[in-house]
Amino acid sequence: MTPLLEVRDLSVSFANEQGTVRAVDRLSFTLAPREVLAVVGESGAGKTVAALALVRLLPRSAVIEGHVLLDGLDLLALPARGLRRVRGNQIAFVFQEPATALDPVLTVGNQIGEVLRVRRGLTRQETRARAVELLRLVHVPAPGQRLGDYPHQLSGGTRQRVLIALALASDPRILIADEPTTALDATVQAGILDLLRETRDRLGTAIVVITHDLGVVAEIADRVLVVHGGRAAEEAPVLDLFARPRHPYTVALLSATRGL
Amino acid sequence: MSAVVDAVATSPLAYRRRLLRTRFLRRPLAVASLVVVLLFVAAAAFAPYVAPESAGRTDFDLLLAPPSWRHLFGTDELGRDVFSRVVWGARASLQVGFLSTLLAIVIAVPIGLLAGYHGRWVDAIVARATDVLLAFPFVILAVGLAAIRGPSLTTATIALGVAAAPGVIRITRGEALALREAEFVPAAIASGARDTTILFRHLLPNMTATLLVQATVLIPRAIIGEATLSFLGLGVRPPQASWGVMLQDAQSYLTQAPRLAVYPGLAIVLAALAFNLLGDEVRDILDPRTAR
Amino acid sequence: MARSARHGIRLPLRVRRAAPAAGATAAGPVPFLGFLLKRAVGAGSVVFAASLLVFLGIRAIPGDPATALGAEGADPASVAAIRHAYLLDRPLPEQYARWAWLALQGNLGLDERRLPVGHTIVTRLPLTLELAALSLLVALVIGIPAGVLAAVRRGRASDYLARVASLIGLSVPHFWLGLLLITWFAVDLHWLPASGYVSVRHPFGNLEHMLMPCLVLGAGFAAVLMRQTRSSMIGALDADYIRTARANGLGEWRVVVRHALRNSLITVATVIGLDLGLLISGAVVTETVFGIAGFGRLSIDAINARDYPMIQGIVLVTATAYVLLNLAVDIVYSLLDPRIRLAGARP
Repeated sequence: MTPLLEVRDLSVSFANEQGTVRAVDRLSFTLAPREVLAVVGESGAGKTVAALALVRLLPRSAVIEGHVLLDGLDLLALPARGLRRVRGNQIAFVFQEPATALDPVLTVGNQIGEVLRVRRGLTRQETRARAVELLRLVHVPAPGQRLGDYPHQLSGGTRQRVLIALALASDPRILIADEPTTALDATVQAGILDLLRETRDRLGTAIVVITHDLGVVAEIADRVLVVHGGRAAEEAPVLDLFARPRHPYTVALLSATRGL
Repeated sequence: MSAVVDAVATSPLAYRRRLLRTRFLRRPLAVASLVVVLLFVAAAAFAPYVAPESAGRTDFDLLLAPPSWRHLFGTDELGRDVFSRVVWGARASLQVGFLSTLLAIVIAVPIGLLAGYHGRWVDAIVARATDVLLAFPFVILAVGLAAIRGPSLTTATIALGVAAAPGVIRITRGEALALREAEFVPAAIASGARDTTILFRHLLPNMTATLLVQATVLIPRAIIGEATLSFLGLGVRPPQASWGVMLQDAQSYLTQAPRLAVYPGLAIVLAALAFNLLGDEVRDILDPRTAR
Repeated sequence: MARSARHGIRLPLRVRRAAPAAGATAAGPVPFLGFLLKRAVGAGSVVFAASLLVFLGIRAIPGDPATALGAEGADPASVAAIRHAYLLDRPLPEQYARWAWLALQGNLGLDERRLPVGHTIVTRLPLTLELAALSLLVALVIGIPAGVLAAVRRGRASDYLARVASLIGLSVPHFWLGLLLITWFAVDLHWLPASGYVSVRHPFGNLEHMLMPCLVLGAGFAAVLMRQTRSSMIGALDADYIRTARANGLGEWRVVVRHALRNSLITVATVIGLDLGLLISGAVVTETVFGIAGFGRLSIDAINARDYPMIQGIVLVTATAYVLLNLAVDIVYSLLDPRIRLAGARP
């Protein structure tokens, strides 16, 4: 099966006063259609930077090298216009902090509607109907009413669901969720993970989950990529990883968890 | 008066001082502006030695003379050397600039610290008081003060200082609020330190950077403010020299000798520009987001 | 230890099953009206405190308050009349009450020439309002787009240029600029009139006379606005929700204007409110330079003529107007930021 996404030798460096910092160092991995890939590593290991680099969502000072092939097309070589079409449409993001990831001065309906209108040129009614449908898809109760709410009026869990709905609004083939459960209560986390799984099952979206929590990995992943210091440490199907970890860092990670 | 809290990091004092020293010398604009500022300060402080003549020495044979070697900027309507008057004017204008800013800081910092640190009803009262002060624009305030004590350099200083205070109160209050949550405050409280000690020995030193940047914004405003007030007849009065007074005198001779307005005006622009640029550079240096 | 639902891998119990997340939190119970009321009461108390200051200020003038308040010389009849009108022999609180009561009705006393202060102010005010409004417009039209451009093209040539321009704008006394412009355009070139004012009923003449004053006053304020917009925009562009918008494939200009600018305008609006005082001060001196017989010019004439009742009226009206203007700005601010509108409090 040809991979949906193939990343080869991805490197990201930043320049600062002391010199150049390599946040990601020749990272390579693949993502198959309908697959859930977990990217694990401690904070600061470069996981988020690598993900953002895929669609060049990094500040101008970042230098990105390597190849990111989506269906054979190298995303890093795309001009701005083409890139904009990939963002959201092909690869969508769900970010870590739901509290700040939504525009505070626009209603939920407005923000979802904006993405829908730009993409498809729907009428007002069609947009509204589709937005309600999206909210229902992510199990937000009373979706019609939520459309008129502002982000600060929603609970953390609902905000995260709205973010997911926003990401799904363009029918992406790949959904990248960066620490989707970290900012949430334990009781709410399970619901979000269920939702992600459901998205893969029902919509056929491939999912990349970035996390430092092995519990999340166990819950949801098909394959796991362990990242350490910006480099790929190990990549394996999830069962193999837990049963027969090869890289010393993976071993350390697992034992730290087991010790609890 | 802008009162938005700047993004100056509340990083440790020593780190900031080091930043300032190392980065400052690498920026030509910062060095240049500092040099110009010091030049003006020196000219003002050493006016008797810098100015070729006294500010009031008239020469009725040489009225409105064009620039020459003897009179670098020419003479004015009473035959006074314009260059000398610009130098003496620097003394008055810079004095008002510095003293009014000092007044604003001396009034505002304790109030702002108390408001930010204690919060609640203290803060509410301070907010009201600040609003009241803000309701009087500095010119109107000067008009009122001039009615009570007559126009003078002191009147201008007080008016400008009081008008600048609310902005500093807000900024200090913001900083105090932010710093209150910092780690060393609960530690100090736990070790039994008194409130005033905490305020002045812990909070205040961490605000010096912000206050410094504020001063570089307020001083040029005060210099222009003095010029405005003296021009309107509310501040320094003729025959004493200040840049604003010179502009007022020049108004009647605009057609005959526009240079009488140009020289003091340029002096104001240069001085204000130097201070503003210096402030910008210092702010950029201390901003954690800029790379160099 | 729980068994993960999927693989039977044993892991510490971290992810627990629970009911789906509840819907919204309760919307802010304090309605917009409550917010409005609070601000109105606040404004009222500020006006009250300001009026107290003005009242005490008049009493601080050296000499007999009766003279200050309009009695001419030693004429015992007029002195007695003033004493009676202002209750000068009564305790201070009573005096204040009477004065404030009269002021609320628009009676601000008589000036040096026995003309009602209130009437004079009201006739001169529209000119200043026009000057201030047009200058503000100029400042907004120049300052905000320049600030947005500088923030978006941060670090590049246009940002640098804009910053230099605003730096110069902050350092140049605008009345000096006015003097120079008069010399060039009016005296030398005869393109525009040097001074004076023509009523709005003659729009072309009005524009001719207002062009230089408004440009001069507006340019200075534009520099302040540009800086504030630029720094707010830079902050907003760094925010998470901007990254979300970009990640969802929205075009750059849409992101900048619809999201970043809307959020920045909130801070900019607050700053405008605070800097309105600068605009008023600027109006006074601009009117003096350009010979516009407005409210600002009136205050200078009054101080030169030692016309204390007029000065008192002017200071009181200015303070009240400023507070009311700020209230208006607060309302605009709350309309822009739904967090305030719905919760009734600053975030």
